Amino acid sequence: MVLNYIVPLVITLVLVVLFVTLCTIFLKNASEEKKLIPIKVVFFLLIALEFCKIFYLIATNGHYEPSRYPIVFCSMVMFAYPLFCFKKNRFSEVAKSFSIIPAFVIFALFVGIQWKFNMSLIQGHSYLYHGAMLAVAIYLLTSKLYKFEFKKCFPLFIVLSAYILLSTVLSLFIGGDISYFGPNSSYLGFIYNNFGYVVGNCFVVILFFVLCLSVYGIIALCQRRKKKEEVQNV
Amino acid sequence: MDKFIFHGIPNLIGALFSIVFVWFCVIKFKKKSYKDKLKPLIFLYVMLIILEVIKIFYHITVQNAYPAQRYPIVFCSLIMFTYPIICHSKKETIAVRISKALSIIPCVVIGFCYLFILPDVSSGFSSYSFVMNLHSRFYHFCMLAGALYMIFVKLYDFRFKDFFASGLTVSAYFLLCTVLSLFIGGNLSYFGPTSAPVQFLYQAVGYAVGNVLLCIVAMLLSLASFAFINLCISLHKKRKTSRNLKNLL
Amino acid sequence: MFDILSLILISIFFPIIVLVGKMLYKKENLSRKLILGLTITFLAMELLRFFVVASYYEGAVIPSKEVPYSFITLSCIVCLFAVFNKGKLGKIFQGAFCLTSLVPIIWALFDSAVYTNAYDTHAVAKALYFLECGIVLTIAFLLVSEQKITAWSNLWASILLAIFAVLDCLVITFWETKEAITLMWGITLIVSFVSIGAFYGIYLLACLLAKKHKDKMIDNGKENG
Repeated sequence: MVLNYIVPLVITLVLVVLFVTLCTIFLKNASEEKKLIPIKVVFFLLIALEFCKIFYLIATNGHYEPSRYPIVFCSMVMFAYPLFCFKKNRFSEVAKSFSIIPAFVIFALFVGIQWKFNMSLIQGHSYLYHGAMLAVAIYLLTSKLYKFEFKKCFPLFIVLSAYILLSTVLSLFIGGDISYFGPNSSYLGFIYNNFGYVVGNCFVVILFFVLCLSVYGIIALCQRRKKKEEVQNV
Repeated sequence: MDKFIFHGIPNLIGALFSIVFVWFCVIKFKKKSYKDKLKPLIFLYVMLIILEVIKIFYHITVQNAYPAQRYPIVFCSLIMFTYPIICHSKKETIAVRISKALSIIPCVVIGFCYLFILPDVSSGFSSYSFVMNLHSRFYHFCMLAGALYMIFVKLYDFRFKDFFASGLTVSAYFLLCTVLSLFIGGNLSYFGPTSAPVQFLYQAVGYAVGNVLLCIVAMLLSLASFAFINLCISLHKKRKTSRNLKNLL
Repeated sequence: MFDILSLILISIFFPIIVLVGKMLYKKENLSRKLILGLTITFLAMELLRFFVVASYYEGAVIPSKEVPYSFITLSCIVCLFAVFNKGKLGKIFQGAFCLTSLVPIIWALFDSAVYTNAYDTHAVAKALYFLECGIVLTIAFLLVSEQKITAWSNLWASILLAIFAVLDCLVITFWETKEAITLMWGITLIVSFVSIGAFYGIYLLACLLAKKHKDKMIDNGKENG
């Protein structure tokens, strides 16, 4: 338990904290373009990790199973990074919000289940992957590249639900068990067993809506109160 | 003899009826406004929908099943989707032009193929129910009548540029049907996986590749038909002008 | 035999249809929009091809021998960089992508294992591969008509092909996709290298012809006044 779960988790968290603090301190007064460089590095790291995974899996197991395809819920940030770290376009802000709240959720879910598994090379890869994701999410906040605004929550919700539905459809199409939200998921298996797979996915979408709304709402309320206090102070 | 009774006589009767219908409508609506010209098409459209509903009811009540082959997404039900666009239009947008083109050229081709060239399908009274066959025949004659009416009242001037868009639309419809066919696993339309006339193509290269090739053929046919019609129109115009000149001289 | 015929037919007619459409409907920025649309379609089709192939196997577990990987996968990635990167790197990728646009077709001509699959009863993956070949050619033509290709692009294209060759060697040895690297594989590679030169030669010829045509037009204009 200690060696399989706590030690890698602590190492990951230390690495994340190191990455975030070093990057924020060194790039504090840099331009926005330079601030994005660490994210670019992480993006290429993630892609390299993905390729390594594919090669490793096929070379050792002799096949490539659907739960390892890069369309799981965890790999969606990989598709969001290039939208804002190379060139600004109209999807940049959505992509940024896409890689913050979901990243925290994913990391929490990931940590919540890892005590079940033994340490292996793929497991280490997983820790690195999810740690990198979390690091970027925190870095985006600490470097002030992203600002919370209440209106950003709706596009985020739409993109999120579209991604979930897309992976659901793909999962049904292939008949495989894609992502944590596949038919045999360890978290939501009971919902799927009771209501069926598609209904369960709709439930997940609603859950995400509530989550987005509550997080963005609370932050918006806090900001408003802060502003009021400032006005009063003045 | 059997062939004549089951194939020839119904066709003759149908042809007679559709000619009378087209003639009557052309005489009545030729010199009226654009809106009035659409009235026969609306009539035909309502009729097609009634026919479709009757078909579904017949299948479910009498035969207790509604096979995928009979869903209204076959190639022949293309006009079911183009007529409402034509009938409810106030301006002549590109969508209206294309749907007009689609409800003339492919309909004439399909109608003639179904009624006169492919007797093994249209005279298959023994292979399928009598009522359904009559229904099918009626449907295709409606289609032909609509197309002929549109040609004679000059609702559509065959603009050469439209060949691309109409060919593309037919191909898109085609591919949609293919995808649906693969999903449902049914034998949709004439170009389904076990269809008779294009079976050799499917066996040689496979169903999906065969369909892509058919799309290319559809594009080429669209080009050829538009080119031919435009050639005819320009020849006709030339002859008319020369005759007018002669009369003047 | 019929496969090869249909491959050639589709990959010839697809560009023709698109280019005819572009000629008929002259609109502003149509070329750029077409390139963007086709690139996204290309990516979507490549992904779809993977999933279609995956769905043939039980539980979608693809055996390593059947992973639908070929030059077209690399071509797809290069195409994304070529279209969306407007810097210097983008131009390099553009040249490499344009000159290697014939390679997927050659690979399919020589080795039918690239697109065929024993479980592919309706030939969906095959149709997707053929259409992708057409799309690659179309994007290449559109890019060539927009931007000039320098002689250096030959080098970049060759490097791209060499990278693919190395990757393929790795894949063949580690994934055991084939028995060993055969003579056919080598011949295909050599023909692909030749095709880069051939494409560049045709491009130069077309440029020359266009220039002559332009000069003639100018001369005619001068004579007329």
